[in-house]
Amino acid sequence: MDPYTPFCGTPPLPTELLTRWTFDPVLIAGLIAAFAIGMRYTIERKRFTGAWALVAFLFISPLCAASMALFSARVAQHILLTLVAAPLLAAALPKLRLPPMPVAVVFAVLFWFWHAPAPYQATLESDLTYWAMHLSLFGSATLMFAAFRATPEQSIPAAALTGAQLTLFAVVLTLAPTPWHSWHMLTTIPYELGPLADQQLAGAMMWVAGGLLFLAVIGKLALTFLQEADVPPAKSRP
Amino acid sequence: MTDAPYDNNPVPGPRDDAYDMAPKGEPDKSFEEVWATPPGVKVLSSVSHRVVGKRFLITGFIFFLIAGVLALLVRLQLLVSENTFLDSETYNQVFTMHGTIMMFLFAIPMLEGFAVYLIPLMIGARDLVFPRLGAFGYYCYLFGGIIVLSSFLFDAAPAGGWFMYVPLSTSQYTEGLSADFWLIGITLAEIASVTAAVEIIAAILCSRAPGMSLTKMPILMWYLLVTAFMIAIGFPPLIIGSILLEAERLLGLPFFDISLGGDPLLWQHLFWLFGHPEVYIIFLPAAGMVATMLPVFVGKPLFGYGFAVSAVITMGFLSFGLWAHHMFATGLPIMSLSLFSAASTMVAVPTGVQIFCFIATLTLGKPRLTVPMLFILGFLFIFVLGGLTGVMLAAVPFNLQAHDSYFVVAHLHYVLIGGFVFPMFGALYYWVPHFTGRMMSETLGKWAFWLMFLGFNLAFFMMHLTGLRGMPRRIATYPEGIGWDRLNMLSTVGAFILAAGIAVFIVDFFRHQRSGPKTGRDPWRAATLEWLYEPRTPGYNFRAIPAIRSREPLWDQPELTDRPAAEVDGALRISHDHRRETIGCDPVTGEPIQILRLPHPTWFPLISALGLAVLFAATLASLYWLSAIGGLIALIGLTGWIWEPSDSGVTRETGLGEGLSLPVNVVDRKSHLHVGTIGTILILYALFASLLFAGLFLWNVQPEFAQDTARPARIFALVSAALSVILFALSWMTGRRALSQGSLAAGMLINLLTGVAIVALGLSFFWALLPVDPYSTAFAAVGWAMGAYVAALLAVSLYWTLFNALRKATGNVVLGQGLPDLLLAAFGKATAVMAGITAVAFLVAGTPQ
Ligand code: HEM
Ligand SMILES: [Cu+2]
Repeated sequence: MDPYTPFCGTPPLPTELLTRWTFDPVLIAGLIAAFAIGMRYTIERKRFTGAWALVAFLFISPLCAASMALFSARVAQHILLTLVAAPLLAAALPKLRLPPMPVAVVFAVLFWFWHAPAPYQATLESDLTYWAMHLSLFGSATLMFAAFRATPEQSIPAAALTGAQLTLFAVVLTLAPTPWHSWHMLTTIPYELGPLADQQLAGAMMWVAGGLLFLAVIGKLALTFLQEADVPPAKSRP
Repeated sequence: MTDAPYDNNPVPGPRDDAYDMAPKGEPDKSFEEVWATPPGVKVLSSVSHRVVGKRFLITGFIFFLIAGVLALLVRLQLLVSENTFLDSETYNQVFTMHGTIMMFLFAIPMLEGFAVYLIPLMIGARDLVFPRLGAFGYYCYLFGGIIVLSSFLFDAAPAGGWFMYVPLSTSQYTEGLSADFWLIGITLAEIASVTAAVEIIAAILCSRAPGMSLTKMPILMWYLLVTAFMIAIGFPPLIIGSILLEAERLLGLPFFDISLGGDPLLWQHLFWLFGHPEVYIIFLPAAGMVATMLPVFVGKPLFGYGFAVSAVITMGFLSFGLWAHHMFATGLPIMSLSLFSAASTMVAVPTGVQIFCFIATLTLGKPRLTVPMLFILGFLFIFVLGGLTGVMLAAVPFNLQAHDSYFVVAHLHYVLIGGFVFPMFGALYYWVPHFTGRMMSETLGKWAFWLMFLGFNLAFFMMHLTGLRGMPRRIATYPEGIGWDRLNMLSTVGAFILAAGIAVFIVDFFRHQRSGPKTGRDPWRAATLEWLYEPRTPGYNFRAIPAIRSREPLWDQPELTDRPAAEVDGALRISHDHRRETIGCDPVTGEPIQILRLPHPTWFPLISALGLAVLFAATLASLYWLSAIGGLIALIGLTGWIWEPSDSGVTRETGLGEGLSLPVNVVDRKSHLHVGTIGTILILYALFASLLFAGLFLWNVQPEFAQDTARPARIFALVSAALSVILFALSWMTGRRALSQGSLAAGMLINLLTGVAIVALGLSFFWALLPVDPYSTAFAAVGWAMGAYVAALLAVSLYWTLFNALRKATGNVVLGQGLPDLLLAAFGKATAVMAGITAVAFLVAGTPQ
C-alpha cells in the first residue's frame, strides 16, 4: 500500500525548506475561485485582497511544508490564519449580525479539538481532514470577528472568553512535560530542536504573539466603536 | 456567559391598566426627608453611596496609616547595620503585613471608595443601583480587615511575604494560625471587591442621566468600568487559590502536595493570575482620576478621549496574559522566557498612549498649579521612572540578576506610590471640598506635596542603588561595611520625610473642617456633574436629573450653570410614591428606559455581613458549630433583604419631554438587576475557570498521578450531563415566561420542577464522585473541589427557585412582576452550563485511556 503523503508533503530538511512551495492545482483553483467570488461581494476590496493574499501565502509558501516538520510552524500558520487573516476578512465583509457568544464557543471548541493529538494526527493522514480543519478554523474565526465587529459593545464577554481560552491552551501547551504529537517526534531533529522544545516554542508563541495580535484586534475594535458612536465634539471653555 | 448583557428583544410594554401595586414608601415624608441620612446609631443602617463611599475612604486611609507605620518600622530596623530593634520573626511579620495591608486593605478599598462616592454624582444618578450591596461589601471589608489585623494580638501575624508562597505557607512549614488569618481575613475582605465590581458595572451601565451615551461618559467612568471587569475576572483566581490552600491546611486535601501529584507552582500561577492584573486594577482608577482632574486645571477637554479609552480596554485584556513574568525564576521553559520578556515591554504601549494623552492635554493650555495639579505632575514624573525600571526588569538576564533584590522593592514602590498614592492624594485634595464643603489650605498642601515628593525620591531612589549593590529584599539585618550602610540610612531619612508630608495632610484635614473657607459652587471650574451643586451636595444628589448632551456638561450646557442647581430642569422632579428613585438607562445609548427604585436605609446588609464574619472567624478558630450559626444569620439577613414587594408593573411620569412615562423597574434584559446578575455570573465563571485551570494544570504537569486517580462513575457523569441540559431548558423557559408575562401558576410549577432537577443533579454529581477518594491525589481533590463548587451553585439556585415559588404561592407577586424569574433564569442557565462542563470533564476523566 502506498504511504499517504500529507497535503504539504513530507517533512522537509532545513536545506530544502525554501524550495518547498505547494503549487497544488486544486489549491490554486480554489484560491482563484475564492478571489473571484470575494471581490464581487466584498465592501472593502483592499482588505479583502490583503486577507486573501495572506491565506494564499500561508498555504503556498514553504510555511506549509515547514509545518510538516515543526509544530511551532503549524501554530504560527494557525495564528496568522485565525488572528490576522480572519479579522481582516471579517472587516471586508458586509456587517453580519451574529450572536457573539455562541460563535466564540464554536471557535473555542474547534480550536481545542483540532490541536488535540488524535484529530491532529488525522489531518496528516487525509487531505479531507486537513482541509476540514483549516476551513472550519478559518471560517469560525472569521464569523467570530465579524460578530465582534457588528456589535462590539455586546461582544466583550465573548472576546474575554476567546482571550482566556486561547491563553489557557497556550499555557497548557507551554508547560506540558511531554510532547503531544507523535508525528513530530522525529521531524524536528534536523532543526536542532527537540520535539518538546518545539512544542514549548509553539505554546509560548501562541501565548505571547497570539495574545498580542488578539489585543491589537480588540484595541482596533474599541477605537472603531468609539469613533463611530462619537458625534464630532465641539469643545472649548465657555 | 450565556446571555449578552442586553439585547434587542421586544418586550411587552408596560401595561395600560397599571395597577397600583407599587409599594408606597414613606408617605409622611417630604422628598428631602426621604433622602436624608438617618440620625444617631441608625446611620449604620444607611445605604447611601455617599455615606458608604466615605466609609471606604476613611477606613482605607486608616489602613494606609497602619501599613505606613509598619513601613517606618522596617526602615528603622534597616537604619543601621546589625540592628536589633526588631528580631527577624517580627521583621518578617512587619513587612508581610505592610505589603498585605497596602495591597488588599488600602489600595483596592480606597479606589472602591472613590468609585462608590463619585459614580452616581458623575453620571447623574441619585444613588448606586445596589446601595445595599455597597453597604454589605463595606462591612465585609471592615470585618475582614479586623481579622487580618487582629493576628497581631494573637502574635500570629503572617510572615511569609505578601504572596504567601506554597509550600512555605502549608501547615507543614507554617504551623499555628498565621496563614489562616491571612487567607480567611483577606478572602472576607475580597468579597467587598467583587461586590463592588458588580455594583460599578451595573451602575455605570444602567443609571446614567438621559442622553449620556457610552461615549459621553466622563473618562473616569471608562476607567472604573474596565477596572470593575478586571476585578470580576482577576480576583477569582486568588479566591480559589486561597480556598484551596485553606482546604489543604484545614482538611489536609493535597492540592499543592508534590508527593500526591499536587504542585506548589499551581499557587504561584493562581496568585499571579490575580497579582499581575492587581497592579493595573490599582493603577487604572488612579489614572482615571488624573484624566479627570488634568483637563480641569488646563481648561481644555482631555486630548484623545477615544485613544485613551481604547488603551484602557486593551490594557484590561493585556494584563491577564502576562502573569508568568513574575515567575521567571521558577524554571519556565527557556523558550518562553524571551518571548515573555518581549511581551512585558509591550505593556508600555497602552500605558504610553495614556501618558501621551495626559502630556498632550498639558500642552493644550497653561496649567494652573494647584495642589492637585502638583500631585499629578508628581505622578507623571515618578510613574514614568517606575515604568522605565519596569522595562529593565522585563529583560530576562537583568531580572534574574535583580530578582528579589532592593531594586525590585524600589521599582514596585515607584509604580505603586507614583501610580496610585500620588494621584490619590491629588484626588483627595480635589474632592475633599466635595465631601466636607470646605477648602483645604493651598499652602499646607504645597508643603505636603514637596515633603512627600522629595522624601519619596530620596527613600526609594537609593533603594535602586542598594539593590544593584546586591542587597536582597526581606532581610532583617545586614553586615556593616559592604557599601549598604549610607544608602540605607538615606532611605530611612527619606521615608520619614515622606511620612511628614502625609502628617501635614492629616493636620490640614482636621484643621480645614473647622476653619477652612466654605466651598463655593464648582470651586475648580470643573466640567463634570458632581460639581453641579454647591458642596455639600444634598442627599438626593440631583433634585431633577438633567439631560446630558456633552462630555463636559458644566462647560458646554449653560442651562445647567445659569440658575440655582436645584432649579435645573430634568427628570423625576415629581416623586411619585415617596420612594427613592432614579432614572435607568439603556446601557449603550443612555436613553432613559425605566424608573429605578432604590432601597431606603436597612439593617439587613449589616446583619448579613456580621453573619458572614462570624462564619469566617469561627472557621479560623475551628468552632464549626459557630460557623454554622454565622451562616444561618447570614442567610436570614439575606432572605430579609430580598423579601420585599416587587416594584415592577407600573408606569410613572418622568417629567422628561412631552410627558414621557416610563415603567418602574422594567422587566427586561436591560434592567440593572439583570445586568448585575450577568456581572455576578461573570465572576462565577471566573471562579469556575480557575478551578478548571487547576485541574488542567495538574493533569498536564503530573500526568502519572492523573492516571492513577480513581475514575468518577461514568454512568452518573452521563446522567449529570443530561440533567444539566434539562436544568438549562427549564431555566430558559423560566426566562421566556418572565418576559412574556405568562400565568403565575405555570410559573410556580416551573420553579418547582427546576427545584426537582437541581436536587437530582446534585445527587447525581455526588454519586459520580463517590468512587473518587479526595485524599488520594491532588487531581482527585480538584475533582471534588469542582463538585463542591457546582454543589454550591446548585444550592443557591435551589434556594432561589423555591424562594420565587414561595412568593408566588403567598401572593407576593402579581402578573407582570417577572424580574426575579428573569434573574433566576440567567443564574440557572449559568449553573447548568458549569454543571454541564463539569459533567463532561468527569466523563473525559472517567474514560479509561
Ligand atoms: C508609605 C511609604 C512606604 C514605605 C516607606 C515602604 C517601604 C517598604 C519597604 C522598605 C519594603 C521592603 C521590605 C523588605 O523587603 O524587607 C516594602 C515592601 C513592600 N511594600 Fe512598601 N512602603 C511604602 C508604601 C507602600 C505602598 C503605598 C504599597 C502598595 C500600595 C506598598 C507595597 C509593598 C509591598 C507589596 C511590599 C512587598 C512585601 C513583601 O515582600 O512581602 N508599600 N515597603
Ligand atoms: Cu506583572
